[in-house]
Amino acid sequence: MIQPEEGGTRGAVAGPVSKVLARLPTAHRVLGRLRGVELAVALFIIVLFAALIVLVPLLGLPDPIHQHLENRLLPPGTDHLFGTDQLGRDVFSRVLFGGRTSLPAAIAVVAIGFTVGTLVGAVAGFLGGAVDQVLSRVTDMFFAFPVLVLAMAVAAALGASLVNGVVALAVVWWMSYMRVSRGMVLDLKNRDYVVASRAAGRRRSGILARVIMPNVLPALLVMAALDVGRAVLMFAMLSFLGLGAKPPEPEWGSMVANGATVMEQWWVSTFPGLAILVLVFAFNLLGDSIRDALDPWVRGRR
Amino acid sequence: MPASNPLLEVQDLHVTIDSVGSAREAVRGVSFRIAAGEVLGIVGESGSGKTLTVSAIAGLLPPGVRVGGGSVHFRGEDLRAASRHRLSEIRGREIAMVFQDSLTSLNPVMRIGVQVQEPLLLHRMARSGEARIAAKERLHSVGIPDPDRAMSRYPHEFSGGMRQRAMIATALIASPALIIADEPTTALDVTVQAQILDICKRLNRELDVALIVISHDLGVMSELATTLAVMYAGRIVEFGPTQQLLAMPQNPYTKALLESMPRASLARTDDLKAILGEPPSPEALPPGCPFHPRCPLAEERCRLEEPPLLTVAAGSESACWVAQRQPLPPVGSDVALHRAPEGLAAPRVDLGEPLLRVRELVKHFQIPSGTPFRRGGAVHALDGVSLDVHPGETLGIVGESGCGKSTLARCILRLINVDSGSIIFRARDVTTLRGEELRLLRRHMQPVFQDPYASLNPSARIEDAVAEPLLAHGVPKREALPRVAEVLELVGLGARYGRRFPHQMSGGQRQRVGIARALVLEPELIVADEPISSLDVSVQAQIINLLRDLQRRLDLTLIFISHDVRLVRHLSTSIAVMFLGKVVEHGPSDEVYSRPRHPYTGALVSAVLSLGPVANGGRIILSGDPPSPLRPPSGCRFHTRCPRAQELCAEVEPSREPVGASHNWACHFPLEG
Repeated sequence: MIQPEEGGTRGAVAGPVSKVLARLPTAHRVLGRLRGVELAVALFIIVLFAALIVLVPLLGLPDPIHQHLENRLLPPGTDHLFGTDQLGRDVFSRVLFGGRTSLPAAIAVVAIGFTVGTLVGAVAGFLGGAVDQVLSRVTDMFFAFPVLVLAMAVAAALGASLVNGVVALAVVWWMSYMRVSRGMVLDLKNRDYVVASRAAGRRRSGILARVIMPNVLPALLVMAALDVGRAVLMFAMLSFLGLGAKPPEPEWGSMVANGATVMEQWWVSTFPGLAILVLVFAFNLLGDSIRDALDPWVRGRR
Repeated sequence: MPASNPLLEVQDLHVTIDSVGSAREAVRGVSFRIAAGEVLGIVGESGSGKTLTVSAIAGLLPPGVRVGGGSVHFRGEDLRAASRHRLSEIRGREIAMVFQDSLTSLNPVMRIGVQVQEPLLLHRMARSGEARIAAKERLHSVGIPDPDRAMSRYPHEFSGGMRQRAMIATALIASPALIIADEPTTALDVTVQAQILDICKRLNRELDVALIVISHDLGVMSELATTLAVMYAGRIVEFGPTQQLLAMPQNPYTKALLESMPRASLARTDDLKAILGEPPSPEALPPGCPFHPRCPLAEERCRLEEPPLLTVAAGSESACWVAQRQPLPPVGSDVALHRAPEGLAAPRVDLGEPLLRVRELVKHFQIPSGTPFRRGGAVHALDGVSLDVHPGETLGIVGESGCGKSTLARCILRLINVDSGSIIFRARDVTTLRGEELRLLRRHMQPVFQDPYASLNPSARIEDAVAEPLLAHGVPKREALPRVAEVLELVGLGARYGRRFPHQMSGGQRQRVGIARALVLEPELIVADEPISSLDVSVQAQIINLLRDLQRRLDLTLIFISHDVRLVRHLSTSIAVMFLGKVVEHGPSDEVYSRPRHPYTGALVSAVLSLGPVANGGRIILSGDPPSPLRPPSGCRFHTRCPRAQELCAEVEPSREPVGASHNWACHFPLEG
């Protein structure tokens, strides 16, 4: 049929005219380079954070817990790069040691959410019928709560601690993995190659574990990698409210909360806040570039 | 129009695909001209550049693809220099296009009537009232019954054939001088294809519209095109009047394509003459003539220098060093060399106890009504199918899409549950098997799938895919791997392919893997559902020959499902013809093909596009579309389309007769034998 002006649909032939096309490669190269920069920045920041967190005990920084009341609330300077807090502890040291809590906690939240969600979703999608109905409605119920309120309720019920904070977040974290995993399994289970495995005589458990899941997991793993940034943020929020890591232990969220009581001494809350900001920003950048690289439509358009 | 002033003239057209860091030529210097009222056919396999050539003409190349050189003149006007505005003026008004996939090329949220009128309104050629009347006329002229009602329908309410008609009506409405049709009948059933071709021919004759038709099907070309261009690897390799070109091809590629098709004159025991290898990809063209690695006539010069397109002795143009020196031998003159070895001539059919006995099989698919508290309809996929398959037999099942042939295959393989009826396999009813019993049954019957791209797990290596059935049935991996290598060898791949992933292989190779996988357990029965219909034409014959070879060597019992009755006749010992969930005719293959008794079989056989001129009136063209399997017609289900139908047919459903005979049919007024 006749193509309307400007190509219309993304069907067999989409068609701006050759003049525009001639200009396309340049635009493509520019965008391509930009994307590379994004990815490099994101990876640089994440690797830097990871390295600092791992190596911080070797740096000879002041103890992050021991109090030096004579050094209370010193501004940033040569002795204390980020200044000190109300109890005379070095903020720089506490930010770095705090990373040892925040990042692993975030990763643990995502890992638990990923595992539970993927499994529940895979079972629901594969078995279908009543099992699917029950599991999907349970998931909907969890979705129906405001995420932070539910996490707070769980954390409060379990009592404030690092582990309970992680558990509380995991409780609200698994549902999106369940939805995606279920959807992909539903789609894949009627593909020819899965039917072929059935015809080959493979057992049902084998079909799910060995044939379907290897084709589902890569996408979910990407999703999980993108989620770490959000988990860092959520965990900090929980700690800010006093429901995550317990006080003497350095943790970004609780440090921001702690600093909020002494606003004139801006450094106490600003530096841990910046740490959250930069790390989450890096994960979001990483997420964007991975998604762009994977999304064939975005890729095709450039 | 005088020859010096053609309607469209394409000179040395190049189309380049830009990819990261490199550019490759997909069309490498194509030239042709077409006069008003002429029908030019462009035939070629996927990747030959035929679609890009016509997209370049219409200025509709996809992003990242550009015209690399050459010129396109339409009525003397240089289209490459034309402004964007001028191009869109020409498109739709002077040059219209018809695409293959009518479902995606029609806008799903616009009524048919609006879409048909669109070109007139866009080009301000008519006011809306006039456009409406014109649209109605066009819809009528392309054979859409009740155009008034059709105008207010949406595309999804139309069948494939009706949508294709609507697209043709849209293309025609502005009375263009040229219509470009890209595989216009490929997605259609054979009996509908015959109707569409008929319409195209009539419109070309009556309205004097020039047509450029793209197809991979030489039969379609023979029917429609006055001039034929054969493309291979981005160039025209042969060009000439269609009938002459098909009768005396002067390029080895054209000749090989013609010879690889099953012809009526070919004995059933003969192998097809397959073309070696696979079409080259545009990234890795062989040096010299791109066809030389597959060409039986290739000589030294072909490996070094690419031949130009020159007029040869027979009058057509051919790009072949050999043909330019001396005319090629006629088609089929050396086919005798490919006769099957003596003693292996035919698979042994044991007419004793059948291996598979299907009785009164019924399968309906429930469709949700969309309204709460109301029952939806049911697709009557199978409505009482009975068949016997004897050991060593190859049963071909033919029918159009929606007739239930794939459902039958899946029921026999027990991939879906049946509603009622029985399937006796190896002397037990398998319809009631569940769980572990069913899993163990699978060892004895294996499928070959239609789409080799979809039927292999993208994340599994070839050897793991082929070993899967063995491992699933408890063969230890140590013993499985040598067996896998053996089977890969058997299907002509070689064990070294085992380490590859599916995406590293071509369609033909993947289909061989699919067959290897089906063979590895040495099942008694293989069910192949359209195993070649998603392969390139030049590769199809290889797979058919492979199946025949395996049939003879392994005494396979095979159920072969296809919409191509000619192919089924070539491969099968018996044929079952299905129409709307019923078997309407069943019998020995040669008998059913040469003396069909059911009018539907007659129409299917007659819809086979033979090469060469067709005697007028020699073809049965069925009217209308296949009826909906949601509401099958009363009495004989074929009566709404049957040229022989009488009152009785609408009331009483005929049963298959004579009972117990090897050739039987379900018709009150059968054709004379």
